[in-house]
Amino acid sequence: MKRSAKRARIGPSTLLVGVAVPLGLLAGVVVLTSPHRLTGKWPIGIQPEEVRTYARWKGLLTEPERTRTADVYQLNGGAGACVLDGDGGRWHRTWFEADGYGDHVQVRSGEDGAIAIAFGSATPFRTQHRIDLVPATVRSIRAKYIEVLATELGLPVPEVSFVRVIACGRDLGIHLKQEAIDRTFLTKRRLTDATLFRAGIDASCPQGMFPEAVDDTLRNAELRSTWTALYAGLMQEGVDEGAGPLDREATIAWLLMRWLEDGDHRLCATVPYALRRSTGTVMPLFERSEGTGKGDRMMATADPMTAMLRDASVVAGLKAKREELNEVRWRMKERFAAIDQAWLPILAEEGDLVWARAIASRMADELLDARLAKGDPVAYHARRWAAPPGLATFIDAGPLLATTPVAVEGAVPLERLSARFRSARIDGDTLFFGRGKYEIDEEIILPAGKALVIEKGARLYMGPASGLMVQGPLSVRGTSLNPVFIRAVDDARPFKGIAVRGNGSAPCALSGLKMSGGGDGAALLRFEGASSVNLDRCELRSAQDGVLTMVGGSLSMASSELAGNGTLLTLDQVRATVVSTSFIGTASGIVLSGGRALFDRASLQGFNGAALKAGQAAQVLVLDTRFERNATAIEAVDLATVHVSGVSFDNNALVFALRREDPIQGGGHVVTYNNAFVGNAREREVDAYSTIDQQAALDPKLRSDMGAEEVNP
Amino acid sequence: MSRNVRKRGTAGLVITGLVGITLIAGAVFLGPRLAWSIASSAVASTVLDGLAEGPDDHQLPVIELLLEEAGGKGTEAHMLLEGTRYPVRVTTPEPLDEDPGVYELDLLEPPDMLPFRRCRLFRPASTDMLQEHMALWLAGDMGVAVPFDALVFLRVDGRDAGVMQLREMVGPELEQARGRSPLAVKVIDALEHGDHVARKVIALPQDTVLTRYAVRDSLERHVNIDACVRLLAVQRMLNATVLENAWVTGGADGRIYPVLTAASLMDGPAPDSAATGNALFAWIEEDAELRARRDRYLEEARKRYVEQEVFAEQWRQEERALMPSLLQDRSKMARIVEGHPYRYGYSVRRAVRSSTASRNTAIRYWMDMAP
Repeated sequence: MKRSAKRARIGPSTLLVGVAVPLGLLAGVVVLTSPHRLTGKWPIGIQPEEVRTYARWKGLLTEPERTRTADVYQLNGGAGACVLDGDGGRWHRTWFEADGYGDHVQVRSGEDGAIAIAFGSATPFRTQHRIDLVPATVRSIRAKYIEVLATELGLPVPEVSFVRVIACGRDLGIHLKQEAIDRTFLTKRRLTDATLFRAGIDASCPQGMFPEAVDDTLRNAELRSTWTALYAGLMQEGVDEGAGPLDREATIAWLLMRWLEDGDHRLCATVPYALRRSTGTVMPLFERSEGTGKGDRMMATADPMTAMLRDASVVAGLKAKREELNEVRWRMKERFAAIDQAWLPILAEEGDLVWARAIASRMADELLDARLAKGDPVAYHARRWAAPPGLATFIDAGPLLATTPVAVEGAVPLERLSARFRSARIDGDTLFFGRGKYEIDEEIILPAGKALVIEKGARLYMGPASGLMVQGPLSVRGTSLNPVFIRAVDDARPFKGIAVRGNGSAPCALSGLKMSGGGDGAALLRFEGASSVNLDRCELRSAQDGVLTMVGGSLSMASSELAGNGTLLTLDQVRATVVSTSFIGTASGIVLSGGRALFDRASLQGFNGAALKAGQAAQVLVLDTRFERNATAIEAVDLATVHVSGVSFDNNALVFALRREDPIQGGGHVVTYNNAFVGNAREREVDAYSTIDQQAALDPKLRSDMGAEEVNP
Repeated sequence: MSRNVRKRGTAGLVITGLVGITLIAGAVFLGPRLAWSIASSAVASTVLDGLAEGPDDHQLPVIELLLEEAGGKGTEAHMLLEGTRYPVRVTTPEPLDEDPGVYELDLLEPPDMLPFRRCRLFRPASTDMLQEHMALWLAGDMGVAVPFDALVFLRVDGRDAGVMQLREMVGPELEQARGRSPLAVKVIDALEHGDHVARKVIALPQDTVLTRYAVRDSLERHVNIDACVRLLAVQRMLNATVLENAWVTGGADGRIYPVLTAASLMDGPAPDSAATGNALFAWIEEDAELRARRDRYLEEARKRYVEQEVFAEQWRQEERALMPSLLQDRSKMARIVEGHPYRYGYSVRRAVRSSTASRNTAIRYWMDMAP
């Protein structure tokens, strides 16, 4: 049969069929294929962008109307130029507005559309003093997944959410909002006793080899010393890595998160840590990396957590923790689904929701199935640890180990002091003030590590502004019949007092001490860096600025009397037990910041301020104590909890004052049991953040936890 | 056969003829081995470049210098690194419009997030790009203080300038940048330019009145002897004839320690004790205890790098990070002679080949060192 040479004419119907059939087929594939597969690899050269276009067409037709909208943050540059158009890296003042909030803030714009906003210390925004905003895409949902996983593991992690940013009238789109890791971040997580610092983890990068405190730069020397000791141990093979100051549980959780995140870490990346002053442990804080799970760019890591994996028990702990998390994978999936439901309609553009779900689903599967269920965290971290370059030289390049804290200059050798005072003697590293009279008219600083013992019968007469600083243990050994006296030469001109400044291991014991006429510029007795302080049968009277101040460690006080001007007892992160002690003063009695304290059979009388004030999440138990004629008997602020049992409140102007002082914290909490209230003007003043509960009987477990004596039924 | 086909055939013959003549001429003038090597390098370079269309993204840090408004030496400009813009003062040995090949950057507002305050960008000194970098890495890994050193991909005003080496310039900020001390430190460029105190300290071992132990105690108060011993161990490990170092007076205790500022791998032989040319090093080498410590550091390093294969693995990782940038580097320039303006083109094939050779030479040398 001869083929016709004449070409067939292509009519409109042919063209229509030619276009409609492939389009129909592709539309069918997109409709019928599961969203998960949409983002996978396609055969015969089909590009993901092509599939996405079809998916968007379908979405435009079938997507339900979205009801959820993002929070809107508005930044207004005022009449002048827009605040974000100025110099990157500099802070500018501008007006910030969000739902229920409006104030002037500091704003800094960075590269790639990043914006940092700092709020005033007195006007935090939803309990945050600083937030960072970066433009968000659908893939930013992974940050939320990571937050959920880290929270499940008990790691402190910055909060993440998504907001719309409008600056100077321009809609900048949806941004990822992340809480900054700063002092506020720690406080919100009840880490009020912690010093925040950062240290480098990039083994190719010498910068950040030693830690830098984030805001408390006075602690740098102490931090460097802790760090040096830690790395000196890690660099030796065959040592017990578990013996270091790193918090073991937090380390394991951090390693697990690091593996799960598989982040893309930047040049010379650093990690934030919290040094708990009350326990001496270092806790790594998990900070999401900048990348999106593309893998670790660093050749090796220098973080101490990875080095801990040389300890078999840490490896076992890591495996166990992973199993533990894997067992609750179903719950994570549910939470991821809830996150998708809440945030994807905000993150996805119009018509793009199917595609967004597909991407999110892939990322969730990659995290929970490919990594958590099937991956190997130990292999991920294997042989990737190395000390930062040149560390051995820098560790050996100075006396950092001996400077915890920095030794005070101007110390007087013990021999000179022994020669100066007839009744003094030296035995080993200890200076003894024996029975006799001592006239001190200047500030004497004992050398670091040397102890001072003041024996019974010693009488110290202190000249104006004179004092003693001990950089080691202090012992005062008076008795009721033969006490130690420390008096001012001239009652009208107070001396400073006695300060103990130790390295955290100095024990102090004071008994039979009668001390008065001091307190010039600071409390009569000041303890910083002492491991424990025991006061027994002491009578302490301040002329000016309080009686006793203590930071860290533990305090035990019994059968003593504190009186005078200023705040009589100030405790910062101290575990205290005060028994049968009376406080009689004019200004305020006891101020507690953090820590825990037991007051048993004490009495507090005549204060114009608060007799007992607890803040910074302090835990207090008050038993069988008497509060009399005080302006306020008990003040509980900023997440402090005070249990009050068997206490009598007589003739106080106000018994309980509970409030929130620091705007980023909660209020106070008082639990009362059987107490007596007689002649008080008002019983309570409680703000909206605070509560008072009445309970029938004190839990015996609470008694024993706080160190109270057992009560026979 | 059509006229077009005939024309193409003739052109092909002419090109083949020219290539043949070039090869023969090259073989006559350069010798057949060198001619073949150059020809194969050229072909491989062209082919590999052709295959390298669309290489992977850079794994090296990418630095962009924005010099458009710069007017010459000591000019203020900006540096973009990982999306952040830093104001810098740029110094170049040649005018900017003539591709100076070396840039010295002084960060005007020293940021906390960078590992240097002042740095130098220059073309790697060897064809494999890695030798000097790995020599400094090894020294740092063995505990000797070294400047920050990294391979980076440089762009200048949007144009690719190729793979460069970025090295911190050792200066008074050394300890501050490392977070070790809040103090600036004193840096003595080299012994012959050192100040009086340093020379006195270094000359102390030559005082024969003191006993050896008295000398050591005296030295320990002024010099970080362990750091010197480590440096000597590094010199043997690198099989380097010369090490360039600076002396730094530590901020915390005022003791002096060496910082290795430049090194290369296997350009030996390493000098024996008598030929160090430095009284302090010679004295250390003569001390049996310190020599034993040096040998212990050597043995530890040898185990780590050869038996545990840490060196080969590190090299491979560096190489993997380098390759995408090398394939994108259209300038293909390396600087063969230190401090000399002469520059040398290279091919990717040559870089890969010499990289493998350098790595294997080092590892073979250490294997031969085994006790």
